[in-house]
Amino acid sequence: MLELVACCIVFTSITLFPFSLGRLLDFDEGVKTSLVIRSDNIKNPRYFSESFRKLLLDAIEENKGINDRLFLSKEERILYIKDRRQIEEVTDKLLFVRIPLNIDKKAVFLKEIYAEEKIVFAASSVIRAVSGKKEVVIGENSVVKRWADADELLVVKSNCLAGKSITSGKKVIIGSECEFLRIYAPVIEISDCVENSDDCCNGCEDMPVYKKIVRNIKNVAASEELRNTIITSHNLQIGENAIVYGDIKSEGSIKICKNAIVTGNVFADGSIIIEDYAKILENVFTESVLYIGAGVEIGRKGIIKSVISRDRMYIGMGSRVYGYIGTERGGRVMNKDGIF
Amino acid sequence: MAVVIKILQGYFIFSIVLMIIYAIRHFCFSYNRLFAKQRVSYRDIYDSELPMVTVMIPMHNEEDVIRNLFDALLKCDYDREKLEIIAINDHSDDKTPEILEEYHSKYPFIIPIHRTGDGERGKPAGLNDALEVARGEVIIVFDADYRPSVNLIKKLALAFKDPEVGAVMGRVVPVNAKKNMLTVLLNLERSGGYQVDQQARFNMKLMPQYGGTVGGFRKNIMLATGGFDTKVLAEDTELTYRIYSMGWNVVYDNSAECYEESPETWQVRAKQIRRWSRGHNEVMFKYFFKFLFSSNVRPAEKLDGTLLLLVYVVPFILGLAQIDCLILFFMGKMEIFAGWWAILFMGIYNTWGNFAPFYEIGSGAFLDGMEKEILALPQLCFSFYFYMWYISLGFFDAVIDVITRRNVKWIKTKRFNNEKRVENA
Repeated sequence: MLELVACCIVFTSITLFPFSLGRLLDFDEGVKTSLVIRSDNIKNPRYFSESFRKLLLDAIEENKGINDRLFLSKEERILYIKDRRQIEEVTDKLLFVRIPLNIDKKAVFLKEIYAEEKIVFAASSVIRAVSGKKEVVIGENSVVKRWADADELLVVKSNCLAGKSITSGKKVIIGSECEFLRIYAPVIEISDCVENSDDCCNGCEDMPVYKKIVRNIKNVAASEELRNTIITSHNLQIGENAIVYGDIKSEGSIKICKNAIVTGNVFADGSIIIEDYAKILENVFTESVLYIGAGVEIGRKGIIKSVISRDRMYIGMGSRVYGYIGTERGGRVMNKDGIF
Repeated sequence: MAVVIKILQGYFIFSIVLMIIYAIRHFCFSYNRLFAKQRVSYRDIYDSELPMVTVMIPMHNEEDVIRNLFDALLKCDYDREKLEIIAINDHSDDKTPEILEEYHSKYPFIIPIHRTGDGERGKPAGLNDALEVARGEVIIVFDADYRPSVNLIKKLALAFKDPEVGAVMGRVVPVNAKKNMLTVLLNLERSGGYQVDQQARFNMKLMPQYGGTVGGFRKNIMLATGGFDTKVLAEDTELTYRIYSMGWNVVYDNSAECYEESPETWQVRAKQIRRWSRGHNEVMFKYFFKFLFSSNVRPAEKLDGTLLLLVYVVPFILGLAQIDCLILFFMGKMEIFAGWWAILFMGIYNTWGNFAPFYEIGSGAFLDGMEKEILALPQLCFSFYFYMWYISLGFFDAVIDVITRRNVKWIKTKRFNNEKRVENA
């Protein structure tokens, strides 16, 4: 009998135990939620630089420039640069640069730099992060560990590692064989020419986007003009010199051949290949790899558009994007011979 | 008698097979969400040319909450020139009309529509009235007690850059998640439903569902197909199937989050779930064959969509199966499977077979970092039977609706005034 009672007690305890766990929860009549939404979050591609600048300038204002120590998120030492001879081979302080500065020897900057005037880094420099109020030029073979930003022109010369983001309020020029993750500027030029060339219009600004849908086609013939939006489950090829006046969506891959024009957005679940001198006037988005040839133009002057790859991205020389380039697994600018 | 027993045994086997299919489905979703590559909607896109958006807010006696929604919308970062807000006052008899006029006088892009008189009432009818005057090519719908974040409209609108997208769905997060055991359980269900179920369907290119609020759709789709069906309570589910049947799709954006208020009493939840079941099953009757034989829907979408259509029938089937099981047991006719197999299968469908099962809820809670709430997981077996009962009642309501063609009446879910919570969160 005792065994039976014991068995009943054990059985009941084991059965009820999982339900008793709920008693451990704290109920709250007050204000707690289990998931907090950041309600005031605004997406800003230049966020790193802008938040750093605000922190730095507020801290300096508080400090009145007296001490060489500032409290940002933690205590930092700061060096105010008034002469280029102050630059050492390895710098472990925040730099506040007040003069136009041309650093002619390679150097390692372990902390962020804020430049009020134009700043030029020598080849093979290592820069944690730089925020410039005017132009910023980063020499060949340099490494940006985190980000680089300029209110005016930002030049990243060939063979650099461009960190997590390079952004500009006006224009970014990025050279051959550079590797990048995110680039943002009203004009992004893929070029080894560091001169700030004229951003002419591409002549397609007023081309219309037709929304009437044609489904499941596999190609648009060379030199054909199609006045439809394309939605297809197949791989799609837009022939040379063809013009699609509409958006494109493919569940497969898309190949846009030489000199073709698409006036709308291009979205693909598979990879996208954009051959040399093709033009796309709206966004490009792929869940896979994106290949952009030489002399390709994406977007339109004065309007921000995006080129996004959820995988790798390869981009050819002479190409131009108006807005944002983003890749999840890294992007690479092809060398001068890297054309399709 | 032998025939009856054969029927009972056949039904028992049918219900086991059905439950196993659903168990596999939920297991696949959970696995996908935890281990597979995730798709992230189109939130990374920067585009300075966004579509004209009309935000529609259906409301009935919302004087306590509507100011907060307007104030939140006024803070949003969407270009004002491309934003219009239509507040649909559906026969309110509190101060809602005066508040709408007050905001309209200050902000002309907030446009009130006052629905009075003997016309059709309810959310679908109100949305149809608003569709007639809306200028936006994209329509985004919020309930009156919601509080959208600054960038929510932009996130939702960006999805329409994809020409195949007919509708977009964001995520709702209960603001009163820790009020009592019911809200804790609803929070867990929401986590499983959005964080796992919706996201996995989006990942697997199946059928994420448009949920009627914190989401948007293309106006031209609705206008081309005669607007919302006012005889259907679940206008959101109806829209999902309409969109897919026409060759469009729905995308889910897990980052487009917005607070909502969960029911805090079992009575209110019972009414809500019964209404959902009734509406969903009306859609099931309307679309089952139409969807199954649509040439615009891919096979994988058809499979997922059909299983989704049946989710509010399954509890009824399961309830009957349990009664069936008991009858067979007491008649001594359970020798369908030898020995312990029968117990195993009962275990499978009791544990995994029904509404937002434990796989998904556990995975969702893990992904959302809800450590303590996991302790409430076993309590779901109580709500399991609670849902079984009220969903079955909703199923009968829908059957009667279809047979008698009676008009359905929209009943608003009771609010619990958690505005302070939203404010502080």
